[in-house]
Amino acid sequence: MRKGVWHTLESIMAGIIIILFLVAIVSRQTSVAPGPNVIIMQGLEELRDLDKKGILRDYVIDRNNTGLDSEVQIDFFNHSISICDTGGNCNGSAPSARSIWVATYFVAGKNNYTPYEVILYLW
Amino acid sequence: MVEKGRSLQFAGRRRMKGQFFILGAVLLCALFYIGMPPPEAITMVFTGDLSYLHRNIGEEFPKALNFGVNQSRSCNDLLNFTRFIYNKMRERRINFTAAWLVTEYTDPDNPLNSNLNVIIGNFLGLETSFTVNISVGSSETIESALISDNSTDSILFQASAISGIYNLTISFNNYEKKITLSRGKISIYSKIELNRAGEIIIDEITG
Repeated sequence: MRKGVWHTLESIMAGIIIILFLVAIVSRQTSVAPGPNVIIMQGLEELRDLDKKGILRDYVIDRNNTGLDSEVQIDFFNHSISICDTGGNCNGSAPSARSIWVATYFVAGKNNYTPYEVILYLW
Repeated sequence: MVEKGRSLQFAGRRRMKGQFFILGAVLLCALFYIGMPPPEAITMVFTGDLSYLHRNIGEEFPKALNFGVNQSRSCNDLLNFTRFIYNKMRERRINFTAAWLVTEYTDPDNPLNSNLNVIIGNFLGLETSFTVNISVGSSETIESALISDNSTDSILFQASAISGIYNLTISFNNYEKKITLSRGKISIYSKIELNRAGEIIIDEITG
């Protein structure tokens, strides 16, 4: 009698372990990291300021994503930049981080029509 | 002494039998975890970016127009840029709709005496009827055009219909906008709407 009760308790505990494990896995898959909205806005504003200062478009036309990224100053977060043309050909790629925040800035050209998409990745 | 030792041995065996359930559960979880594929990166788009995108697009539209005008390509660059933005917004699951109007003159070297060409771009998602009303004082000239989605059309107004300063009213889809323009100047008006899951930004740009 006592042996059966003990086995039952242990099997229940084993079941609880499996359920807790599955719950942890599922919640990890669906969880979304809190957004650093203020930081992203700061990054977007920096891109805009660089554009106003006449710095951004030179880097974009030269497709110099690392040079442009070096001009962006954002504390606490890693960041990188991709510069993509209308055909989707990009200089720079998305980082291999788990959670990445993306902000986009469009450029129609500098002296003539050469549209690009500037993608700011934060992670 | 011997009996006591046996009973401890049996007690240990009994416990070990039961603990196999827990041990098995832990092993099952560990094997499942090891066999799981590495987590894919979750790319998250900043949800407060619509107003920012809207401002960015609104500032780039006149630039795209200027590039085209400077290269004698009229509205072609603006048209291509609008399509570029449309595609990029779709990639981000943002519903982008726009309508724009550009005034240019048939003789760019002599805009004060040439006819007025009003070019309208329709990116509203449907074939849309546009009405353009040009008024100078009490005289009015009204023209309409039915324009397919994702395309442009132009309406020509005779030089006599316009003066130094004139009012232009564009109407479409129960929407009406009156703008005051100067003759001889290439002008742009655009209405852009960005919509993502109920978050909507609508604004106009005149330049």
